[in-house]
This record gives sequence, C-alpha cells and structure tokens, in this order.
Amino acid sequence: MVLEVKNIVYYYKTNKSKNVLNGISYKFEEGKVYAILGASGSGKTTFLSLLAGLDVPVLGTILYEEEDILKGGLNHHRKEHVSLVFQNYNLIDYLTPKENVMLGGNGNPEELLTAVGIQKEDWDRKVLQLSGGQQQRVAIARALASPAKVLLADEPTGNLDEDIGREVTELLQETAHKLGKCVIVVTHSRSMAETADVVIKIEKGKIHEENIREKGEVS
Amino acid sequence: MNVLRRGAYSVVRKPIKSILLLLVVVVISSFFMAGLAGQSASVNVQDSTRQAVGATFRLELSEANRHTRLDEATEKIGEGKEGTYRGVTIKKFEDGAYGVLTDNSFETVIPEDAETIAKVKGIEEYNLITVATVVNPVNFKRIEDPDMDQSQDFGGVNLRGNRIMEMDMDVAAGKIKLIDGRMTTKEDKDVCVISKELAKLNGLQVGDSLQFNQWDEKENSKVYSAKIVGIYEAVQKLEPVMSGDTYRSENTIFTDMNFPEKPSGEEGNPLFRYAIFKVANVDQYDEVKEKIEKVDIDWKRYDLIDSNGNIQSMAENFNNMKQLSEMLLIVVSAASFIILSLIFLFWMKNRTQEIGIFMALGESKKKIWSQFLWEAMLIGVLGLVLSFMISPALSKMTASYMAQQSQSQAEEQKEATENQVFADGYTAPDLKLQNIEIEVTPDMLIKDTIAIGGLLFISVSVAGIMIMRKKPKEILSEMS
Repeated sequence: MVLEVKNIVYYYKTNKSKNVLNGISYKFEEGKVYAILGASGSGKTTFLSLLAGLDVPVLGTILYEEEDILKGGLNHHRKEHVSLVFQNYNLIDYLTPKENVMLGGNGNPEELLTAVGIQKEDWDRKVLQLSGGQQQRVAIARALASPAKVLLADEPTGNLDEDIGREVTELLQETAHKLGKCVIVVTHSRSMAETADVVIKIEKGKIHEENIREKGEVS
Repeated sequence: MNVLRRGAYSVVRKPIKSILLLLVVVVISSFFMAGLAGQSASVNVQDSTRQAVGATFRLELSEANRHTRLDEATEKIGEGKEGTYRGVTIKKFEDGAYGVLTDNSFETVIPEDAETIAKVKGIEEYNLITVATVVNPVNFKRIEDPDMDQSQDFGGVNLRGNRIMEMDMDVAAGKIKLIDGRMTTKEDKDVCVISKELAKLNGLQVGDSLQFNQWDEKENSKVYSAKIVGIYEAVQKLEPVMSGDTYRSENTIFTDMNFPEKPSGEEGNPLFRYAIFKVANVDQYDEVKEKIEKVDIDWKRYDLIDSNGNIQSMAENFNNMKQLSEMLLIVVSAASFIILSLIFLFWMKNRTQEIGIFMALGESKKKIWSQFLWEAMLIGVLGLVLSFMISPALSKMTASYMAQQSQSQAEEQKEATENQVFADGYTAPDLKLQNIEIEVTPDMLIKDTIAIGGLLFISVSVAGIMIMRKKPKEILSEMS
C-alpha cells in the first residue's frame, strides 16, 4: 500500500453545509491502475487534488507509505511522491518537449520520450507545435521522469480522439504494470475505466469500489 | 532544470514580453540617470564681473531672489497703492506712473552675513566691496572726454569702497597697479586712492584731501573729505558700469569701506555689492566650501561663486534645476513603480498556468517567484547597459532643457522689472547661461543600478504577492 486516505472530509468554504467528500477512506497499491468515476460535481477531481497535495482535507489524513503527507510538506509530496497528468497537458510553452520532461525529475528525457512514442525530430521543437496526443505523451513522459510512485491523471484522454486516447490509456497501464507505479485516473472514459484494475465510484461524498466489467456500467 | 536556465529560456524565447520590459527599463533608467546628472550638474554662467583671483569665494545678491523679494513686497503693498515694505517703496509719480524704489537695506550684501561666513575655519580674510557710488567732486575736476556723450551721465565720479583694497577684484586681477603711497586697509577711515590721471589733472599727491557731496544735491548736501593715501595706474581699464564719464576708469576712486555711503547721503546705510572670502589653504578649498554652505544665513538671498565662476546650489534661479531634477527623480520613481508593478502583475496573470504547473510539479512558491525575479533582473541588466550608453546624451539634453527653463524664468523676471528705478545705480550681475557640465559618473551608475534593481525587486514582489498567495488548487482551477 503506497497511498492511503483516512476519513477524508472536504467542503468548500463557500458552502460549509455540504460535504463534497464525506469521510472517505481508501488504500491504493502500487502496480495497479485505479479509475475514479463519478457524476459531474461528485468530488472526484477534488479527491484527486487532495491525493496530489494541491489542497488539504478539512478533516482526515492522507498517508504516503504510512506517513502523513503534511509532515514532509505538500511541495515535497508533489515533487517526490506523486506526479500529475492533466486533461489540458499543461506543458511549459517556452520549453521544448525534452526540457519539459526534465522538469519532472532526473529521468532520462530522451529514453522517456522514446518510450512514450515521441520521435527524435520532435524532441527539440516548440511544444505548441505538437499535436494534442503528442503533448499528452510529453506530459506523461514528464510524469514518468519523476521518482514518484504514484501517477495521478485528471481526464488524461478528455481532449484526445478515441485512437489517441486508447494509446494514452495503454501507456498508463504500462506505467502501472511494467514500472510498478500506482496510477490513479479520474475519467469519464468508458474504455479507460474498463481497462483499469480497480474502479472507484464517488457518490454523495462516499466511495464505492465497483466491478464495472460485471455490471457493464460506466458513469 | 534549474531556475536560472528556465528564466533565461523564458526571456529569450518569449521575446515580445522581454522587449516590452526592456524598453520600459531603458526609459526609466535613462530618466533616472538624467535626474541624477541634473542634480550634480555644474552650471557655468557667463559673468561679466567674474575674476579669477585665486582661492576665493564671492558672495553676491541672487538676482532671482531679488526679484522674488520685489514681487513679495509689491504684493504686500498692494496693486495701485503707494507704500514701503522691507526696503521696497512703491511711489506714484506726477505723470501718474508708479515706480519701484529700493533702499540700500534691500540691495546690500549684509555685512553681518559676511562676518558670519568669515568666521568659518579656513577663511583667512574677507573683503566687502561697495557698489560704484556716484558722488559729486567738490574740490577737484574729473577726467572728461570731450567726444563722450554725457547726456545720460551723472556728472560725477564713482567711489568704490573696500574693506581691504588689496582684495578688490580688479586689484587682485592685476588691473590696478599702485604707483605711489599705499592701498586702503580695514583700519582706515575717510581715505582714498586715486588714478594717476586724476592726480595729474588736479595736481594732487598723497596726503592731499578730496571733497565730495551728493551728485543730485550739489548745492545743499554735506561735504565729506577723504585723504589721498595712494595713487594707482590702471594697467587695464576698468569696465564702466554705464556710459558717460562718471564711471570711466580714471574717475574711479577707491576708498575705505564706509566712505562711499557718506557723500552719497546714506551714512549708516551702506550698500555692499560683493563680499570676497580668501581661503587660507588652497588644498582645503572644497572642505571650506562645504563649511561655508552650512553657515546659518539666509542663503536664498545670495549666490556663492567659487574661483571658477561656478554658482553653487544656493543660486536660487539655478537651484530650480536641482529642484526640477529632484522632482524628476520622484516622479520617475513613483511612475516606474506603478508601471512596473502593473507590467509584472499583467505578466504573472498571463503566466498563471505556468505558475500552476510548477506548483503541481512541487516547486515552492519562493522558487517560482525567484524565476520571475531572475528574468526581470536579466532584462534589467540589459536595459541598464543600454541606458548607460544613451544616458550621457539624454542627461545633457534634459539638464540643458531644465537650465534653459531656469534661465528664461530669470530673464522674464528681469524684463518685467527692467524699467523700474533702483537706488544708487544698482546693477544686477549679468549672469547668462554659458554651458552646463553634465558628467555621468560611476557613482551615478551605481545609484541607478541600485534604484532600478530595487524597483524591479519591489515590483516583482508586489505583483507576486497577488498570485503567490493563492493555493495551487485555485490556480489550477483558474487554468481549467
């Protein structure tokens, strides 16, 4: 178990009467892909933000390898424990793909870009000249450059067409299964959820683990 | 990838924002330099009475302040009214026109002020010189040129009183050579030194006495005598104050300090035009100058002129330039702070996504802020270098403009009072702008660098606070 949430409660300061997350507890393991599903506004992105250390829960704790992430500081948590992939790629526009990957950590950028399918001739181009799929691959390479054991992705295929989305999904699976990382993905994508090892549904601030393959439903 | 490299890439690869900031920095820095240069500019004036007489200082009335005092008195007395205020009298003449008359207390270098300055350590001796005072020669004839137009002449001779004649500017400059007797000293009373021409014409010699009275009251005014103690030869003719024979070189009679006021009907009310201070040790000239400037007298009333003819900052008219420079510095600083803060605020607002990404990658806010500061400094350094290249020319232009403004202002004031009548033939020193020495010194470069660096630091900090106080999630929410 690499990441654990214990009795997480979260509400917005503007609406304290309604808990977005209401006492959630869960344990995430390495080597698995977790898909987090939920209706819009269900709190799944908020949950991911808490796991990423971008925000802190009102109540409850988040443990990384059994240690509260607040203990080492949230910056340290984001730098060393988790890496992030966003829907809109979030690459630095004045850096090349190679330089963007170097931001992630000490991983070899050329090897990582090759691994995610970015051709050598694209390594030193302007990132905005790359296609959406290529940019997302660069973002994944950047996440992989990090020493973090947890990769958090928020709608990573949301801006991509189906074929490219599938390729990105495969990349994330490989990250979990081959590199042994814990991949947690917030998604609306049926295909992505179907390929996840564990599907978690957030509903009314609570978390449910589901076997969608048996149920055949994806929110 | 470290902050320095990232910052450098951002500066180089986003040229438009860099060029914009560069231009702003160059403009700010150049104006800053112009302000600094203006503050330390040395204004040289063309002064018809200026003499290079060694390590001395000359104190004389500030023409600009004189006009200020005249304006003040006119205002106090009231428009269309007659009256007197602090040595200024407004009088209505028979033809209905108003005239402004000033008395000696208004026009004089105050002897007590000169005495106060003379007490400064390092001043060896001082002299007081009266204005060229017109008097009527009672028992002798003056030198006259039959071809000279005497229509505007007073028909007299002119007396020049000196506390120590040896320190008279014309004597010190070698224009006057004593050929008989001695010069007047501070211990003398009712003595004079005459020209050899005057002595020859009247058959006078040392030991004789000359008599004088008021030139405009020849019949009724009291006659005063002065004993001749010396006879001089003018190696170079003395410049007359006005046309006519009254002021001609040969009719100039040097007297002791207090004599001229007597036959001119102003006994007890002297009119000193200059005070000259001799510095004991030339090597301590600047040191003495600083001490003099600290003396507690009404400096607005005076100009202090050094041996090179440089009017110090006390000269009110040219002091305007210093004030303008200071104003320029204040305005530039305030405007720069606002402009730079807005630029950086806009800059950071546009880079919210970048800030969010760095935060998501675990970068501390301090590190992100330091990247922005580093970028600003990189551009700032380039801007400073460019501004250092153009600032000498710009400083010269700005300072010239400011000095010309000061000069025009002084000339306008002078024109406005040109036709007014002043007591005892007072003539203001003719100070005309000759040139301005502007030097961009290493000290200014350091000050400018510190100022621009400080402004950039504060502006980046102010703009940074607005962004950096947000939580990463808020920034990422704004991004999405």
